Amino acid sequence: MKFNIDRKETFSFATITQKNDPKVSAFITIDIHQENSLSTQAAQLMFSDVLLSGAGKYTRDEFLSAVNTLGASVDVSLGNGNLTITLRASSQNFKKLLPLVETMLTTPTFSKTEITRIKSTLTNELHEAKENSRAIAYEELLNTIYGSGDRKFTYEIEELISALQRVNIQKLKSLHQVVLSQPWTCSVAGDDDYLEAFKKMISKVKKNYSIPKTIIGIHQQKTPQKICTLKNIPSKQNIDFNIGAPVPITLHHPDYIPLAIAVDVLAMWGNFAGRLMETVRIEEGLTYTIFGKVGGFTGSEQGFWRIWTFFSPDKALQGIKSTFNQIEKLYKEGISEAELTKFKTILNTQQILIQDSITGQLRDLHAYHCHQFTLQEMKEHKEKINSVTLEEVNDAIRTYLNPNTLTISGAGPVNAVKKDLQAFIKSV
Amino acid sequence: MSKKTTIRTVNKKSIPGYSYITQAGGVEEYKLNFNGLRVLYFNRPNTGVVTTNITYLVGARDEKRGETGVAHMLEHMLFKPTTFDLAAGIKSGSAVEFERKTGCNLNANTWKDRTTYYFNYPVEYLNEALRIEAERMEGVVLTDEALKPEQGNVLSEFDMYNGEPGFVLAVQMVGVAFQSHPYGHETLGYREDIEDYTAAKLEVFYRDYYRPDNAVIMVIGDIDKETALTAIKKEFGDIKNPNTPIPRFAIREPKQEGIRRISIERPSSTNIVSIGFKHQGFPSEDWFVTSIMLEVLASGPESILQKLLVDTGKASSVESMIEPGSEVNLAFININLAPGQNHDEIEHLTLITIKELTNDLITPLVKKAKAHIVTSELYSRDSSSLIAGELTEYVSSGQWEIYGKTIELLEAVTVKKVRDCLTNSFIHSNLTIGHFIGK
Repeated sequence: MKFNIDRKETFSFATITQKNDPKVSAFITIDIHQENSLSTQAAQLMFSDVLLSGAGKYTRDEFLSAVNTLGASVDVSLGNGNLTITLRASSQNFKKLLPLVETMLTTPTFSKTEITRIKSTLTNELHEAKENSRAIAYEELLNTIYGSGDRKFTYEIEELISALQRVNIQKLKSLHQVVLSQPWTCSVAGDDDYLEAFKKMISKVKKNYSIPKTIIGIHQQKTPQKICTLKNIPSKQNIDFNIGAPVPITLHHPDYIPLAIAVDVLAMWGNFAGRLMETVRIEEGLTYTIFGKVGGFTGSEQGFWRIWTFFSPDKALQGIKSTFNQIEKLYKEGISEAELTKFKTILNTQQILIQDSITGQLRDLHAYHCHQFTLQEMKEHKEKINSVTLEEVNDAIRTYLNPNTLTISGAGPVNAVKKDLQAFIKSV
Repeated sequence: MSKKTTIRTVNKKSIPGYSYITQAGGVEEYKLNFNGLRVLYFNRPNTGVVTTNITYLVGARDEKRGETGVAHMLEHMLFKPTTFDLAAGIKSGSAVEFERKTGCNLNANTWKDRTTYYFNYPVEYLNEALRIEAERMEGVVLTDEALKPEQGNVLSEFDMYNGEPGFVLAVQMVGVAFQSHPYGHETLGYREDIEDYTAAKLEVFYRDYYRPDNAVIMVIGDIDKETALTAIKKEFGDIKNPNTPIPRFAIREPKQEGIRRISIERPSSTNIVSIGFKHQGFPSEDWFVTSIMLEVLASGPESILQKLLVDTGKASSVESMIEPGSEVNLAFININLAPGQNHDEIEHLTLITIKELTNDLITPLVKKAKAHIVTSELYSRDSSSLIAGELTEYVSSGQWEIYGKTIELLEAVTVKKVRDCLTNSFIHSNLTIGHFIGK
C-alpha cells in the first residue's frame, strides 16, 4: 500500500494505492464558507440535491439511473460550509462513473421543476427534524459558542423553512461558481489505474480555474458562557444533553493535543475508558452513553469541547450533577501520569486499528488532507501524542475545562425538570 | 437449529485437538474435539489487526414470557467482573479493563437468534482477548447487587429507543404479527420485564446457553491459522459442557387470516404509516429476493415509493428494514408523512401502487438494485471487523458456508422472482400495518 499527496494550485490530490482492490473510493471536499446568513444556509441546504438533480444532457431521473446502473454511489453533503462528494464503485465501473461526476460538477441544470421539488422535500425533512432531540441539543450548544455568521451556527427550523422558499436560481448558481473556483481537496484509494483516471478528471474540471480567489470566511467564536437552554420535545423518553464550551485556539496550537487527551480521559468517544463512563454509567447506572470530544478546530478556526449524553427525566438532575462532579474533579485535580500513559497507548492502538480497512485509512488521510497536512506533518501530528507531558495536559485542563463557565443544552421531555436544572446550573 | 456436517480429517489442515469440518469462501471451520466449540478462521494478511468474535446461539427467541430482553441484559453482565477477575482483584471486569488498558475495540450485540461479543485489536493481544472471552464463558458473576446499576443502563437504552416513533411502532407491530412465535417480542424486551429481572433469572439463562457446544468463535485477520487455533485451544480447550441439553423452543406460528393492525398515539409532530409483511428467513434465496424487492420499492431516490411519496411532497422520508433472522420474520416499509397527510390515504395509495406495478417498471430497477447490493458487498468485506459482523449473521442462521455465495445468490435474483415476491408479500393474510399518530 502506497500513500501520496500531490498539491497543485487549484486542487490537492491524495492517494492510497492498493493493488487488486476490487473497489475504488474517493472524496472531494470543497470549503465554500464565506458568511452564514439565513439565506446562505437555506441555499446550502438545497445545494446537495441541486447537484444530483440533473446535469448536462441528463435529467435527474436519467442521471440517477446512469449511476445506479453501475451499482455505484455518488453522495453529496454540505455542512458547516464544506461540500463533500463521496464516490463508491467497483473498480470495473469506476471509470464509467467519472464522466457522470464530471458532468454533475460542471453543468448542473438548475431546473425550475427540480428546484420546486427540492424546496418541498426539504421543507418536509425540516419538519421531521423538529423531533431530532440529539441534533437539536448539539446545535443549541454550538449556537451558544458561535455567532450567527459562523459556519457552525444553525438557524431555527421555522426560519429555514421560510428562507428556503426565497432561494432563487441565481443564488444557487453563484454558489456553484464558488464550488468550481475554490480549491478542491481530493482523496482516493484503489488500484493505480483508477487513481490516475480520477486525477485526470479533476485536472480537466479545474483547468479553467487557475488561481482561486482567497476567501476568508466569517468566524465568530464567543467567550464561554454559563447558560442552560432546554427545548421541550414531549414525544421523547430521554432528554439529550450537550455540555461544553468554546476553546479559543486553533488546530496547530500547542495546547490542542493535550486538551484532546484531557477530554478523552474524561469521556473518550465510543469507548468505556473515560471517567464519565466509569462513574455515571457503570457505577451509578444513570445512562447508557456518555461520551465527549473536541471539535471544530481547523488551521484558522477555533473549536470547542463537549460532552454528549442522555438521561430519563427522573434521573436528569442526578445525572447532570454527577457529570459536573467529574468535570470539577478533573479541573481541580487534573489527571495522573498513569492515566496519561494509558491514554497514549489507547490512542496509538487506534492508529493501528485504522490499518484494518482501506476505506478507514482513506477517511483518516482525507481528514488530515482537508486540514492541509503533508504526509510528513500527518505522521508528526500523530506522533506528538507520545511526547505530550502530564504538565501540558493538566495546564490545558486548567485553562479550558472550567466547570463554572459551561453551557448545557437539553432537548427532550424537559418541562418537569426545567426549574431544577436551571437552578443547578446557576449554583455551579 | 440443526446443521448436517461431515467430520473428516485432512492431513494438511490437521491441528492437534481439532477436527477439520469444512471450508467455503476462504473461511475454514474446525471443531474442538473436547467440547465441540466451533472455530471459523479467515486470514487477512498485512494489516497487523485481528478480530475475534464469539457468537452464542441464543437470543431473544429463547426467552420466556415475563423475561423478555433477558438475553440482552445478560450480554451487559458479561462486561462485569468474572470470578477470575475478582480472584485477581480486577474490579471493573477484564473486558472493560482490556479496552481501557489497550485501546482495542470491543463490544457486543444481541439479536433474535444470537448473542455476539467481539474484540478488534493489534495481533499481539490475541492471547489476552481469547483468555477474557474464555473466562466470560464460564465465570460470569450474577448477583442482584451487580445487576442493579446495569439494569439502570439497560432501562436508559430502552428509553433511548422508545423515544423513536419508528422503533415503538415496530415493537408493537411484531407483537401482533406473531401471536405465538418468539420473534413477536423485540430483543430489548419490555420495560416492565427489564424492571423485574433478578440475578437468579439471568443465572438460569447463562447456565443453559453459554457453553462451548452452543458457540462459534471466529478469528479473522493478520494471524496464521496454527497460532490462532492453538491459542483458542489453550483458553477454551478445558471448558466442559453441562450434562443437560440446550433448551430450544420449536414454535410454529398460527395461520394469519387477514390484515393485522396497530396504532399508537403520542404527543408528537411525527406521523408514520408502517407496512409490515412476513418474509422467509435468512439466508434463503427468498430472503435475498425480498431484499432486492425492498431496494426497488423504498431505497434511494429512484425507488418506487420515494418517487411516489417523497418527490410529490406526501412524505418526508421512506425507508425499509429487513433483518437476517433465521425464521419467518417481519420486514417493514416506514413512511414518515408530510404535515397534513392522512394515514389511511397514504396506506391505500402505497398498497394500490405496489399492487399495480408492472414488469416494465420494475425490470430496470431490479437490475440496478442488484448492482448496488453487489457493490455494497465489496465494501462490507473491507475490514476484519466488517467481515466478522456479516459472517455472524450466517453463523446464527446455522448456514455460515452461504456467506461465500452471497454475490452468487444476489446475481441469481430475477425479475420474475421479485414480481412473485411482490405478489405474495402484500396480500392481506401476510400484512401487519401500523400507524403512529402524533397528537
